[in-house]
Amino acid sequence: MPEYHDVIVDVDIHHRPKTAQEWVPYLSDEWKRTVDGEEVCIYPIPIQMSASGSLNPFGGRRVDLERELGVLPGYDLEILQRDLLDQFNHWRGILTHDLGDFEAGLNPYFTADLCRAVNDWNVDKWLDTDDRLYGLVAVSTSWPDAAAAEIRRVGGHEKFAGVLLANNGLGVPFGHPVFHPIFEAAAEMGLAILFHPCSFDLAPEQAGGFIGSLPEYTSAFGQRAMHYITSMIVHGVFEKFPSLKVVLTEYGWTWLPNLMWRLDSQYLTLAQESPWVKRLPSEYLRQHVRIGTQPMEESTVPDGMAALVENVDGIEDILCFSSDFPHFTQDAPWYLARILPREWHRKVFCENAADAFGFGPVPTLVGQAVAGDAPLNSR
Amino acid sequence: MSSLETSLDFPVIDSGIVHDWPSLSEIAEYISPEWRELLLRPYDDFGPMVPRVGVRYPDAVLAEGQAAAYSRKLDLDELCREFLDVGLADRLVLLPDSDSRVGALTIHQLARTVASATNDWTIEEWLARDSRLFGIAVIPNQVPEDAAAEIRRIGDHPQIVGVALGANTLHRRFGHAIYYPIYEAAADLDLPLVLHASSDAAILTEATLSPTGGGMPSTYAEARVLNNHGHWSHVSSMIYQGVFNRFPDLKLLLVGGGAAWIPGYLWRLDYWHKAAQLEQPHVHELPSNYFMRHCRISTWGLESPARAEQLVNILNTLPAPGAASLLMYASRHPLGDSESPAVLSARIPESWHRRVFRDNAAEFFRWPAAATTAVGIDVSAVSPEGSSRA
Repeated sequence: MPEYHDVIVDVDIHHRPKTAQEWVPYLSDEWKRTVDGEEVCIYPIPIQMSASGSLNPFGGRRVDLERELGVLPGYDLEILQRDLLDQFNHWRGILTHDLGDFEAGLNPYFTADLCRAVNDWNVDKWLDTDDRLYGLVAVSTSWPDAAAAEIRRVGGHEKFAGVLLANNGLGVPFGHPVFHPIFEAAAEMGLAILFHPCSFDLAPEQAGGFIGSLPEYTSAFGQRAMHYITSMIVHGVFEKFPSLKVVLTEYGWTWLPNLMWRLDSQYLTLAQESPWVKRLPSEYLRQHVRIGTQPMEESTVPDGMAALVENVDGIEDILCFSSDFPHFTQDAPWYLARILPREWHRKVFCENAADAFGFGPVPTLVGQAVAGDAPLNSR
Repeated sequence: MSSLETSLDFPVIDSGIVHDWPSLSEIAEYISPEWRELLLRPYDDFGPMVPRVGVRYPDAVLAEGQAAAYSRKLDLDELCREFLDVGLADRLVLLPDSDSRVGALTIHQLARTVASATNDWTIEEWLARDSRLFGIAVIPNQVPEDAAAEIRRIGDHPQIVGVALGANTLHRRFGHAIYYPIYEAAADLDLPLVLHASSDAAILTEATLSPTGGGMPSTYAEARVLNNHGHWSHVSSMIYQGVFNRFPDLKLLLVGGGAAWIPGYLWRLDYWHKAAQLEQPHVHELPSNYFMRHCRISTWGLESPARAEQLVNILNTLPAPGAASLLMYASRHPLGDSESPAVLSARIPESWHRRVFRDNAAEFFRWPAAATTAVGIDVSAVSPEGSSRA
């Protein structure tokens, strides 16, 4: 079975403050006064939410770490280094917040200020602590102009690799022209866009109406990914911003064959309805869209996942390894290594992501490996 | 549209003839008198009372020549000429488009009368004219008891072979207990269910419901690309909320959403069944087991990769009994993108042909006994008790 012991670029590592109070000192004075140490409800009214009457075991995080720490994990750098970065030879890792649901707050002024505070906190407390860690600019998705201003304000910091679009603060999918100021600013600043599913979207997160159980919710993240990709193609995001790369994480990818083939078979009708679809839709996807591998399924037939991945042309240039540390649904690199042909490993484990985030050439540990393919601990 | 061709040496069962009344006036005589005036009043600027279904492309957005194909009315003579009399098919299932239109009617009394009018029109003006035609009942599901009553009213007709679930008018996924009267009636009459991929698109104005994840699409084409989302959500709901456990004889045909996403989908359902088991005391088997046993997938909407074997390789990862037992042929006649048996058979393995083009449908719908033995028998002479599954 193929193994992988070379470097990794991990496009989905969740980090968080120990408590939200950590962000308060970074707020502007007027909002500090309003917050004043009290709990502030920053979330929009949930339209579909798994928590109501439904169990998300251990808050969705790894129970072993929660027991070790006594609180939700994700705030502790040493554990991140110990359990992930060092253990799996991470060369770079993208910090994606946990989960960034402050981005779609109902109060646009507070949300804009909170995103600014989170970004300043991120620079202060995380981005300079480990060379391997890179951040995403948090932005108010309900106010794209404010988001664009924030991208231009902090996006030049060398340790910001992208812009996070987590929950959707408006009622339309993320390719819609209303969001284009965000794409424009990101492209201008040389930043990628990273999408991550989050609750409290103001657009219905999934088809079909209200969910009735947690697994209905968690098994359907892929719907949004399919729609965002389609929407960005239809609304010409990649025509208008040809340098832009987008990365979608934690939506899985086994919906990709259906999407790619459907997009191309509907090419003519897409082009009828949109002036922006000038090329085959799958071409836009291949050139601009990257997809995190997590969460991967375990096929119930032998080599099922391998069969899926080997029957989509060019998928080796699209997938990027993502761990989703420290959620309990996180994937281990060795599982992905077994599914992929060995000759795809470098691309999927590091090169595709390095290209998407503009990290330049990726070093290799090959030649430094110890005999017998034992995993390396590089720190 | 090119004439239909087959390379098969047996007649197919076509479980997807697109069947729709072109205008309300066509079914006027079947509509309850108290609602007739309201439904048939000409509305100038406000459009017809029953809105056009969202994902049937309006003529304006179609390429030249396609519009004519999409506007073609179903013609019985043509069905006989192209399918039945030439031996290409010996049974045709008329799939209602108007199940979605019923869902677009928020006044439930109107939905009730339009549904029953549609069914009466189907029976009187189509099924009665040729015993080789079979129909799917349309139901007003926003009042499940009304839907159940409609199923029981016409469900005994020997040429009614299934029930269309329709659009999700109650904004609760189809696993919800509120729909149990529908499932009970269908199960009692041994009728399978049909869920069209684009059904939910009929309801375009409700904030809590979307036919696609992530919000409403901006174009009809996007709705087509993403039309597996309804299946994705509703089937997971029906499995996770134990519908197939409660109604072990219930069957469900998924139409229009394709199949390449199904293997990964089933593995994901299995994963979350294990992870969230505390919440599912009523789910006794792996979701993938329920799916393979209770669900079928129409070839209408089957994906078309550049190389046909790519789709086949992916479908071959389905658990036992595999893709050959899952797929059911549907031509989508008379629409412009219909697929003849010759075209489809070229892109799936020959070992699948017998099941996909005939046997799976033969085992799925509730056929009258006469249809299982010979063609052309006057089914009005067959009593409902004579119906069988084989």
